[in-house]
Amino acid sequence: MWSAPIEHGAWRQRLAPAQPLWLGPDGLWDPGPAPRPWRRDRPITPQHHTSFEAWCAHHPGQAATLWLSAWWLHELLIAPQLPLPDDAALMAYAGGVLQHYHGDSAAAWPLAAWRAGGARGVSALHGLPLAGLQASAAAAGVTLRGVRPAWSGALADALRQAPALARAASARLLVVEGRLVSQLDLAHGRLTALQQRRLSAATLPALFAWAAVDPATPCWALGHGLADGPGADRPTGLTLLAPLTATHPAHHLAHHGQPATPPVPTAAPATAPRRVPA
Amino acid sequence: MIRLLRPAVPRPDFLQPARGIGALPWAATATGLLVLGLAALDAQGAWQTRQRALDRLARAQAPASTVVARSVGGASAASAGRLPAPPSGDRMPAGDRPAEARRWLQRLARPWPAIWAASEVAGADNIAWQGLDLGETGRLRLDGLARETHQALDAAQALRAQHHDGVPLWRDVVVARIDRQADGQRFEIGAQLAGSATPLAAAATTRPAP
Repeated sequence: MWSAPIEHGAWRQRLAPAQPLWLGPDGLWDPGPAPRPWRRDRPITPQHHTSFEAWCAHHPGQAATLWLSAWWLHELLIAPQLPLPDDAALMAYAGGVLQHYHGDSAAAWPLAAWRAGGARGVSALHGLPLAGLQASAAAAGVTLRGVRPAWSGALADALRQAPALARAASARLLVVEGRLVSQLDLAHGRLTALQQRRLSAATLPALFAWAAVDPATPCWALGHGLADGPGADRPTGLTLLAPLTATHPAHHLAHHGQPATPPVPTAAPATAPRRVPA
Repeated sequence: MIRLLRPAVPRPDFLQPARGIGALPWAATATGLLVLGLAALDAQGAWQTRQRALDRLARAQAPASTVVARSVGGASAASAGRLPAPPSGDRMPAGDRPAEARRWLQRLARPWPAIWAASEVAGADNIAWQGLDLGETGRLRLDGLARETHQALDAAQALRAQHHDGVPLWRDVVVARIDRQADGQRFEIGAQLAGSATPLAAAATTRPAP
């Protein structure tokens, strides 16, 4: 028997859906309330906060999932042949590698291991104090459900919008955050490479010029933070899943269940052969 | 299942939450739910059985002023006389109970072996008996099929001669009907049980003399 009184507020907070928040170097973006079927006419207006602490101050008692910008992260893809049986072994190995390349400060970086489809890797959080985020949440009574790299959410979003990305024998996804581009190479939906690239400028022509290096691999791109301008045209085989010129991370608004922005039609032919029904 | 159909997506999380629930807990949960469902079905059946038992108990513990008088079906009831119909349904008012008891006592007091032997006493090899009916008032009716008319008359004579405890068992023995048919003479013998001159219905309303 329960001896403590049931706190209804605590249960409501526990059962409430987590609000997805994108945290980048320019602050925090909140996509706003989740769209409801009976409130479809209301436009979603993302709100900007200077920091996670500021958001917590405005939303005490709520639940949130933080999607971290690639600017805060280092990524390691670990070879499948290495005998690392579990996540603890993965993170211990990755910690050694990071410490080797980034010095002793890397020993304190929070790590997050992942496994998917035979691939495995580790994300390292170097630009933010995880304990500080948790302390801000705890001070405002905010339940922090997850602190996750934004590229993993973007990959799930892209797979929903472009199923051909998972079917292609070789495909590439570019998650654009201004000048920083996370490049995800996939083979039949399995992650084979995860690298961070920097564009020469935060413009669409700069991205097009860089992406045209390997026209053989079909490529999809989503993200934000690029400026339009004169220069190279969109290369053949590059499909934009979102207008990359937005100022806020639109693709993460789709975590509420529907894409916030429709895919941009591309002049390029379909990169993956479509099955024609007989 | 849905996870199997979708491509695997990495889900790194710096909070390092507990991994998803494995197959074993799901199987244990499913088994538990199955057991719960079966137990619920069993409990429902047990509840219904209990309700029926309680109903039967309530009927059994009904006030003693009512007795259940069920009609006795079958050939014996047809031959031994028809039971009076219950006044209303299966229940009998308390006032009718002594009369009903007297009726049963009188029925039981009849010389049943001798009555049953009537067909054997009057029978012959050439008579095929087709019915024996003893009415409420002790009136016997014997239906039979004989080859010749005199065989029916002989049977009636044999009934007249049947004795029980030294006194004639039947009186007013008459051959009530003889029909000539293709397969023989169909006849009916009527007789009155000697010891039951008073109809049972009348006995039920009059107190027997001491």
